[in-house]
Amino acid sequence: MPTEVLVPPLGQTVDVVKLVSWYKNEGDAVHQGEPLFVIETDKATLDVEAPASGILRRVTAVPGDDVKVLSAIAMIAGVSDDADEQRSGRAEEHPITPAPLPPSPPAPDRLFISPRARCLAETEGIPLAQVKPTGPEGAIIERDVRAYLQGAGIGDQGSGGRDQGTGVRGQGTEDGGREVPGNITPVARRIAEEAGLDWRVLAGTGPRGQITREDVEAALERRSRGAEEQGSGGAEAHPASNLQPPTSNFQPPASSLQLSGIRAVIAGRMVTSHSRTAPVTLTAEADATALVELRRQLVADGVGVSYNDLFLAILAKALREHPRLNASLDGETIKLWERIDIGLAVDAEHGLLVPVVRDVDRKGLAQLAVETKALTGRARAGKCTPDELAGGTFTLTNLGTFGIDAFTPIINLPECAILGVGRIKTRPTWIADRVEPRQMVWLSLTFDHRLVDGGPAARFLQRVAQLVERPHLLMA
Amino acid sequence: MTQMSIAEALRQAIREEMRRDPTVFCIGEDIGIPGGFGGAFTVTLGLSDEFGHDRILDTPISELGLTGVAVGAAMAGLRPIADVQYSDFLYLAMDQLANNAAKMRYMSGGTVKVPLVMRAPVGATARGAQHAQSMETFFCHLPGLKVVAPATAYDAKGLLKSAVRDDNPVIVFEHKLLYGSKGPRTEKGALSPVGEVPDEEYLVPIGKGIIRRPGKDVTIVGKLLTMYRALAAADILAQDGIDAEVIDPRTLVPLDKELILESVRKTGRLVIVEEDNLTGGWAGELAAIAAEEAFFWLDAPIKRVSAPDVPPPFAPVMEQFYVPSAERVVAAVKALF
Repeated sequence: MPTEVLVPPLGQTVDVVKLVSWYKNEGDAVHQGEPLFVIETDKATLDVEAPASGILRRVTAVPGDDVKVLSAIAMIAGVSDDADEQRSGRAEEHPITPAPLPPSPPAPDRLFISPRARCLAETEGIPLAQVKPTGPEGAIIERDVRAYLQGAGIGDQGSGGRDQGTGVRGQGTEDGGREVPGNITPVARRIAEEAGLDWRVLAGTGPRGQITREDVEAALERRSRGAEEQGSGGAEAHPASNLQPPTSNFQPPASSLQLSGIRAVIAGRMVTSHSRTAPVTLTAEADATALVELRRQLVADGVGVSYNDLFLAILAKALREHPRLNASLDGETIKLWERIDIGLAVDAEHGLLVPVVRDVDRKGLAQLAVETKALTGRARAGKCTPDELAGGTFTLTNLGTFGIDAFTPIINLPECAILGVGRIKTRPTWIADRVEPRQMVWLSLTFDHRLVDGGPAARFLQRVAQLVERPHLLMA
Repeated sequence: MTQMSIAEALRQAIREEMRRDPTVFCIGEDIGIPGGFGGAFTVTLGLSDEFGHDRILDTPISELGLTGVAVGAAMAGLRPIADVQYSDFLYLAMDQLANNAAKMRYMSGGTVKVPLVMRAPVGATARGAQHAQSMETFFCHLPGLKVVAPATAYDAKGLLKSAVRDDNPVIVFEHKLLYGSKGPRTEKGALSPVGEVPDEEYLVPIGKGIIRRPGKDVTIVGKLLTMYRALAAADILAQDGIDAEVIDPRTLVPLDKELILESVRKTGRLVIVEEDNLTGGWAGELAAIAAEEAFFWLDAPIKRVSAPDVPPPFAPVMEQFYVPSAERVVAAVKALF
């Protein structure tokens, strides 16, 4: 079963990217998950991994080409797919081979698609491997192609054809192969599609979990009831607005907020970070008993430090020793920063703000305490200057005060990494051969694997954990 | 408008044509004998009272003989309406129909016309293997014959009148369960559709099919009894959200190909329902036409719902299994979604 190599979708606004280079040549063996090619957007370059293992075939784009997202630029042929080509190749080399080759077994993974669906797919330029088959015997039929068109937002909305309106992007199956037809009765499917309801999210109550007419009608009832309570028919009104991804339920929102201003900025940055980095999160548990005691003594002695201040100091020391984590990616250049300017995630009233504490490594705890207090106060009051919110080299985010143990922070682009600090909690812990109550904390480090590998990042986190456990080393 | 059965509509068509044209006459077995049924299914009942035994000709039980007389009369300028009691008996008349009626016009370079009508009842009706076959396919295969298969009273009258006026031999297949024959010729389990027939003169052109039920999800083609099976299936399918279009071709040769292809291009699916045996059947021919001419419009395999490749069984329960049911049509259609 050949797998199409697709240009990945990048964020919501990127339609075309530049193909920078291939890591593999046509005919090379590739392994699923290894970097296959490099693309460049207006903001970054990024490796794209091979979607399957096999032989790279039918490469249609060369470095420098502008390629559309979701377009196929090559195929990865499975070994069995390749057998025919290899066989014919061998036959030419050894034309007198007497023994006839055994007939090739029927390819179990060939694509089944109705002529009508194939015509439509070819007209629209749709990669068939991406279309989810729901037809008889697992074949792709017209409605599947139309569902894909709708989902990809390139459909002929006005054609009035039937079987439209699922609003669901056809999702390729995991192996790109065949799948049982949609587990829904025809009448249920029709009712759902006519009402613009995404039946794929429904739980079926029929035989073998089949979605029945009753299931669909119940979902529609829930939807309309929600719409009435909202005092508007809004939920019903736009079944055709399928460009939005399907929501997970059919209740109308309790209230609606415009995605604008700071919310829009946050949304844009987060999705960019999430889609354009190669984030990996490492977690480690550290014994913060000594850190808790250190803070108690400092506060008792009149130095009003927060845990954030202590973590800033710890990070500053660790970053000085691990400069690869104090870095940013600028185009194709990884920049290692001399200064250590750490952003501090602040839960302000209108959303997340990250004011930056400058030169953290050059400041004592007392100064850090004063500065961060003023800085976070200005952030919460919405009075930070743009300069105070830009130019960080690393970010610290602390959800411990909310009782969160561990999480997967999102990298604050263009930085390399972010440390998430969980709550400090007394837990029974083995010390040598006995259990003691210790103040434990989870540390969550998310780093961009494009800039740094797992080993250096792990060593950095290990050092941070060590400084948490033995804060006197901050003096060393 | 008058409500009437197919048997009555056919009788009215013959009566009108015989009144209109003195060259029209009927020939068959027991079609006009006193105290008879008026043919096997009452179509010619009472016609000998009006037209006499010179124009309602009863013959010995010799299908080859009566067909030969009819073909000869047609070649000589008369317009015979011949009939056999059961279409199964057409095998006995095959030489006259296949070698003479179908070929004379070609062999004579068009100078000899054969304006013959041959009526023949088809369908399994608890009479066993030799009185139950559906013979349409054989005659569709013979160039030179036209073949019609009316399933309603309106079409029966209009098509028979067109057949009488056609200068080529026309085989008219009629279904025993659709006649609406009365009295001792009442058929068990008959549908006997009664339909409106205009009081004024009209013709149904040979070669024109009709959409019996418009739909957009699947095209089901049925003729004679199976057209009704298709309609029943469409009703069941509608409850399941499948909107079936039912087409009655009415004429099998020449086929209203474009009507069927247009429907298939719309729905993307084709199911053909036929009472005849599967192999080499009319359904297969339609499937081939659709595959050749509408392949790229198909969204699912073409499906035939036919009788299995065995003779029609005599046991009623076996016969019910043999003749395609609405349920079988429903199952075939659902498998395409």
